[in-house]
Amino acid sequence: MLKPSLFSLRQALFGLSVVLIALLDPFGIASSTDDASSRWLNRLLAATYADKGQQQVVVVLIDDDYLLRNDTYWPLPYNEQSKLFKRLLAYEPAAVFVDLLYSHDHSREIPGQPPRMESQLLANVFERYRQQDIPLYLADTGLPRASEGAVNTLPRLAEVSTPALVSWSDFGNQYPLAVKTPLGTLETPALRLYRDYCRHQACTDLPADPASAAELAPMTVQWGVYRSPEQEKVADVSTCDIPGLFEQLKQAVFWKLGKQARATCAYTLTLSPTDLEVTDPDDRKLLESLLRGKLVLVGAQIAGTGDLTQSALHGKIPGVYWHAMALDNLINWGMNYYRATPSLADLGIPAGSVDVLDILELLLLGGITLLKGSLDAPLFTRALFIQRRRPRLRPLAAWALVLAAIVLLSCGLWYYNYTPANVLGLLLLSLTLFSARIQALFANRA
Amino acid sequence: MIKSSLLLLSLLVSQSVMATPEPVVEAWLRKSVAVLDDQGKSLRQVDSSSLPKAPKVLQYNKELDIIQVGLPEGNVWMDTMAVRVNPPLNIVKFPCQTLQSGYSDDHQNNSTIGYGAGCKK
Repeated sequence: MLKPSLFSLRQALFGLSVVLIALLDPFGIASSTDDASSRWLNRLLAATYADKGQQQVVVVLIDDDYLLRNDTYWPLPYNEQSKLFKRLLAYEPAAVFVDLLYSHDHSREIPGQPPRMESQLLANVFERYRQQDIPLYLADTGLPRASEGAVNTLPRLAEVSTPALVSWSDFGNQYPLAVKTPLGTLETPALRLYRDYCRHQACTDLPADPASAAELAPMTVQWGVYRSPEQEKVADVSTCDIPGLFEQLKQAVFWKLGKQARATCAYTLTLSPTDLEVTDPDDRKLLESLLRGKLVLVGAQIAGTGDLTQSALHGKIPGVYWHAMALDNLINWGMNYYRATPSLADLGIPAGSVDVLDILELLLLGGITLLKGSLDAPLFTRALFIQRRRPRLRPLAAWALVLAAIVLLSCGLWYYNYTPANVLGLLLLSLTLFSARIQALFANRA
Repeated sequence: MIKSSLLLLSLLVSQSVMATPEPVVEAWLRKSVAVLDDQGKSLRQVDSSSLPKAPKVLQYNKELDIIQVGLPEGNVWMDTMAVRVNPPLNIVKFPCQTLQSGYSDDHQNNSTIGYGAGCKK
């Protein structure tokens, strides 16, 4: 009877444990290095990000400075919002998304007026958008208001607007185009606005309806770094800092020693609500050039409201910029936006969240292990009584081969608009495996 | 007597010269202007070419930022963004405020904003 040798069993167990560690990702270590790889590659490629989307997208940001300057408060009173939105309407944007959740009516009591009248004033302004054929999307949670604990847009505001989903789960840090909700399949703001962009532009492969959009892979939003050249016409940009490529790399390696190398000002052209109040004809003409026919997103950055998102380049910024950047990605790449590689479950193989890239990385890992084995093996082997010379690589050449494989894999993924491989994880692993041989090489040379 | 009369007369004349003129709509800024009710709800659109030149501004609702204009068919409310009023109702220049920067990656604010004044009981 043939008995497997202890050595081969040990090897099989080792191989199996490596496979399990790679696929199951215990403690999320591989996911962390995956995220870090993705973030750093976005940082390195951000300088080459095209500005086609930037020319179409504008954010109007209500911030604490605005509240203080106007001696008002948060939530912004409806009459102030009415003025803001009717001023914006006058500049005739192509479409507007409002990243404010109108879930609780905070109308003030006005003597001589029926109760809850202030929110009706805002609804009156929103209705004027519809009359002028300017799509207006309000943030929507996708939950029915009647259900327990659920909040959503006030009915009188929902009647005069279109919902855009802003709340979802199970997508990690990716941006879905549409999601199935208790209220039906709802599209997210980026796709809603992109459809409006496509009313005047030729767009290919646009999903026919929300249901088909929900079938598409979610987007891994890529961030640009250079702010809009129009920004300095309306704001003081003297404090804006854009780190160069070298600075980014330096910070990537020595992040513990220095301060963060991040772009301090938003990529998307940003206006203050006060900008919309300008009265000088020349100033209004300038605003018109910035807003007419553009896709406008209205959001807020108020301390204590918590709507922040993580940008690979800007740190934590208001959530409205995530929608703006997702829209920007859609304008730049259409439906060929960056996405994670499909999971095996997407291909009909029941394997949880294990994706194709995990398998590719595992193959690469196998290749690295083989190379390592070839470095450790004796130069000559005796098989069938014939002495045979093994092909043998030098340690540095073997490591260069690994690097080339990683670069090739990354380039292939980048070419097909997939998020990068776990470059950092693979590099670290290959360095660890080859370090002894490389050290020995240098010791021999010395 | 003549001197004091002249002084009084000159004062009266200078007062009338210096008094703020009544605001009028100097120009219609849109081809089509919305006619609103007093709550800012749009009632209909009118072609600005059919509107009279320099109608008087009768009222200014600062809360809604709309004006009441005297037209031959009656007094109607209009959005201030659709007209140029002389003298201007207010003057606002670009604030050119410093662009807000993002927070660092590890920024935390473990609080929730309190009620606004509208929620005071």
